[in-house]
Amino acid sequence: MNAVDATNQRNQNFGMKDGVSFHGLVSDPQSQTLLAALQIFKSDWIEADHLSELRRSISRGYQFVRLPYFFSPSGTEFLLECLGDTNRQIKLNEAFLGPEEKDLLGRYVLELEELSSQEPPWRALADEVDGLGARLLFVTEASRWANDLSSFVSASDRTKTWTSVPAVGFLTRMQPRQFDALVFLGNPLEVTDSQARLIFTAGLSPKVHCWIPWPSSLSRQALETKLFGPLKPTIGLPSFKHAQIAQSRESSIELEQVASRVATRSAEHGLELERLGTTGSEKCLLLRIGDSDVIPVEVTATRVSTLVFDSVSGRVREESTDWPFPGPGSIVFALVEQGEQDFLWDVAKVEMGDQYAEFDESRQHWLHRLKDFVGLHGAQGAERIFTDHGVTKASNLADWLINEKFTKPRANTDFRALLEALSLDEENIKKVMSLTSKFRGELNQVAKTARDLVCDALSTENWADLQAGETLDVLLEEFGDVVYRIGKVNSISEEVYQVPASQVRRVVNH
Amino acid sequence: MVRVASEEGAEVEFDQQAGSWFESYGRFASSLLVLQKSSEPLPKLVAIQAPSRAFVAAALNIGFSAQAIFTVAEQETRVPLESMSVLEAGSLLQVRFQWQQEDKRSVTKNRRIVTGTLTSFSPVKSGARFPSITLDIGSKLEKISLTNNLAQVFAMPPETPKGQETQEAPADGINLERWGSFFSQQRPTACTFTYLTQFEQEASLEIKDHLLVDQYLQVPSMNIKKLSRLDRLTEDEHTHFVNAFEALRSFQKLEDEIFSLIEPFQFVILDGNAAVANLVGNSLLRHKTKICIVDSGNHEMLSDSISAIGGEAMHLERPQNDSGILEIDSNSGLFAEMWF
Repeated sequence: MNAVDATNQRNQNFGMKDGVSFHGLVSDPQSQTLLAALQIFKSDWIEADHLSELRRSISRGYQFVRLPYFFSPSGTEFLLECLGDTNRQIKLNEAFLGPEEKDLLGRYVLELEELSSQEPPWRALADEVDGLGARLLFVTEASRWANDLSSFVSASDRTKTWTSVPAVGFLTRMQPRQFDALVFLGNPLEVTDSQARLIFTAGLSPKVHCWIPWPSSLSRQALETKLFGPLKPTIGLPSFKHAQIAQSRESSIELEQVASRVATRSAEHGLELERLGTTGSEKCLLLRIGDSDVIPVEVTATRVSTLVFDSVSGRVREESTDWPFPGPGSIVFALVEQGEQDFLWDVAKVEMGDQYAEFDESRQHWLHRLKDFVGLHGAQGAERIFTDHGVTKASNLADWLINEKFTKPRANTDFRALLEALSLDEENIKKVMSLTSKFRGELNQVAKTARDLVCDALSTENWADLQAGETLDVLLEEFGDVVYRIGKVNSISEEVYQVPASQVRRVVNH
Repeated sequence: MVRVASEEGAEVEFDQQAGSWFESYGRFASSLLVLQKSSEPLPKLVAIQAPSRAFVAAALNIGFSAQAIFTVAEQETRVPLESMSVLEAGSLLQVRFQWQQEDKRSVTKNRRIVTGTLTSFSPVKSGARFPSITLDIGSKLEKISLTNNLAQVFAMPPETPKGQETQEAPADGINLERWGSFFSQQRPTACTFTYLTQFEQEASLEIKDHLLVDQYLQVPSMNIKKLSRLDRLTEDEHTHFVNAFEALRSFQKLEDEIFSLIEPFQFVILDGNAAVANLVGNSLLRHKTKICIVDSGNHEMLSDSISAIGGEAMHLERPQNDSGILEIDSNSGLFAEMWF
C-alpha cells in the first residue's frame, strides 16, 4: 500500500458515520457477582504491608478476571493456578485475618472457583466478534495481555484474517489494510488520551468496536473529553447503557480505582524469572552483572552486543564486540522478561503484512511433518536420521519441538538438510527458506529498533552509574513493556553451563 | 480528481488518484488567501484534526500557490529602461533574460534570472550599444548589459532572495509567459515547520490532473515542491518563491534570526503533533495565522498538541455560532476550527 493509498483509506475511514460501538464483556448477572466478590478491594486492611504477598495474589486474579479472562484461551488454567496461590497465601496469613476479612476472601475465592468451573468465555466472544467482518484488527488495553490476545486469535483459528497488535501505541505504525473493524478489548478510559485517540480517530478501519469490562464505568461524556479535550469532536460517540447495572456505576468506578492502585503496588514485587538450570542444549559461559543476574552466551559465539559511549555525539550506541571478551568491564544488555518472544513475533507479523499468512502456512506444514516424523521414528531415531542427512545440530531436536516460536535451525545448511530429510520437494524448500528468511529479517529488525530505543533512553548520568557498577532497567512501553537490563560485566564464568535455548542471551536470575 | 504519482525511477512506483480530501485542503488554503485580501478578519489559529498528517501540508501549500499566482502582479513592478536612471542605489531588482533554446532538437528552453541590489547604473555611452546595471547578488557584483528586448527588469519586494539561477521550461506546448510568471512570482505566503524527511518525500511526488498543472501550466505533471513553489526558509535554493518550509528543529535553534525570516509570511503551517505542541504558543508567531495539523494517527505528542492548541485558544476569540468551524471535506468528515 503506497502512501497516497494509505492516506485515502484513512480519510475514507475517518469520514464514516456511526463507526463506534460499545459492548459489554460481562453479562449482567455475572457482573453482579463479580462486583460483589471484588468488594474485598474496598477494605483498608488489604493494603497492610505484611499482607503484600496476599494482596499481590488477589490483585493478579482481579486483573485477570477484569479483562483477559474473557478472551484468554488458557483462562481456566490461569484461574486454577491463581486460586492455588491465593489459598496458600490465605493459609499463611490466617493469623492476621479477622472473621470479616476471611468472609470477604471466601467470597472472592468462591467466585474464582465458580469461574474456573464454567465454560471459558473466549469462544463465545470469538463467535460474536466473527460477525463484524472478515478482516479484523485487535488490540487490548494493556500490553501485558498481548500474549493472551495473540492466543485468542490463534485458538479461534483466524490467524489469516485477524491481526492482533501487542500495544495500543503500536497502531501508530500500522497502515490501514482495509480492515473491516478495529476491536478494542478493554476500557478506553484506562489508556492514555493519545492512545484513546489512536483507537478512535486514526482512521485505521471504518468501524471501532469496544468490548468493555465493567461497562457501567464508561461515560460517553468522559470519553469525549478524553479524546478531544478543547477541540470539536470529529466523531459521534454512541451512548452506552448497561441496563441492569447502571445503578452501580459509582461502585464499579471505585473498584476500578482501588484495584488499579493495589495492582500498581503489587507490580513492585519483582519479576518472576526462570531459574537457570544445569540441563539444556546450549553450552554457555555466564556473564555476571549486578549481584544476582547472569547472561548466558554460547561458547561458540563469535560476536556479542555491547554498549559504548560515543563522546563526540554524547550518546550511547550498540557495538558488536568479539567474543569472548578479553575480560570483564564491558557494558552489556539483554531482555529480562519472559514472553518477549511472543511480543517480537506479533510485531514482526504485522510488519510482514499479508505475506505472514503464507509464511505461517508453510511453517505449520513442515513442523507437522517434523512432528509426524518424530512420532514415526521416535526422538532418537529421528535425530539419527537427521544427522545422517547432514543436520549437524540434530541434537537440539527436543528444543525445536518444545519451542512454540521455533522457526528454523540456526544454520541455513542445517535448515535445508532438515527440510530435505522431511521429503519436501525443491520448490517447497526454496519457498519455506525464503519466507522464513523474510520473517527472521522482520524479527531482527524489530529487535534492532527496540535495542536502539534502549540506547536513546540512556543519559550521560546513566552511563556514569553503569560504569560505577549499577544495573539499570529500561522498560519499552511501545514494545509490549519488555524490560532490558543493562549492567557492567563483573566476571565471566570459567565453567561451561548447559542452558536451555530460551535462556541464551537473556538476563537470568542466578 | 487529482492524481499523485511517484517520481520516475522510484523504488516503489505508483500513480494513484487522491481522494477529494486532497483538493479540499487546497481550496481551504486558497480561501484563506482570498480572505487575507478582503476586509474580513483572518483567523489567528486554525486547528485541523486529520487521521494522518500525510499530504495535508503539501495540499495546503499547493492551494496557496494556486491562489498566489493571481495576485503576483501586485508584488512586482516592471521597470522600463528609461526609468532605470532614476532608481535609487540599493533598490532590489530582478533581471529576467529571454528564454533561449540551445538548438532545435533541445526539448527545453532556459533563461537566466539575476536578483540583487542596485549598486550602479551606466547609461548608453559612446562606444556602448546598451545601458548596463551592476547588481550586488550576495556573493559577488554582477554587471549586466540591458540588451534591448533581451532582458526585463523588475523591482522586487524586500524579502526576495538574492542570487542567480537558470530557469527551465519545456520547449513546446506551453505558454512561456505564464510559465515565467509562475516561476518568478514573489509572494511569501505560508511557511511550514515540519519533520524534513517525511515532508520532502511527499514534496518529491508528481501531481497530475490538477487545474494548475494541465490547464494553467499546460504540462502533464509537476512535483509538489515545484507546484507549491516551495523553498527552504534558511537556505534559499531559488531567487523566488511563494511558500517556504523548514525543520522544526531550526526554529528552536535559530531563535533570534527566525523572526526576520518568517516576517513576510502571513500563514504558518505547523505540520504534525511535535510542531504544534512546540510552536503554537510561541510569541514570535503571535501575529501570524497558525494552521495546526493534528496527526491523530500518531500518538507521539498528540495530547501535548491538543493541550497546546487549547492553551493558545484561551487568548483568542471563538465565534459564538458555527462560523468558527469551516467544513473542509464533507466526504471525509474533515473540518477546521478557527479562533480570531
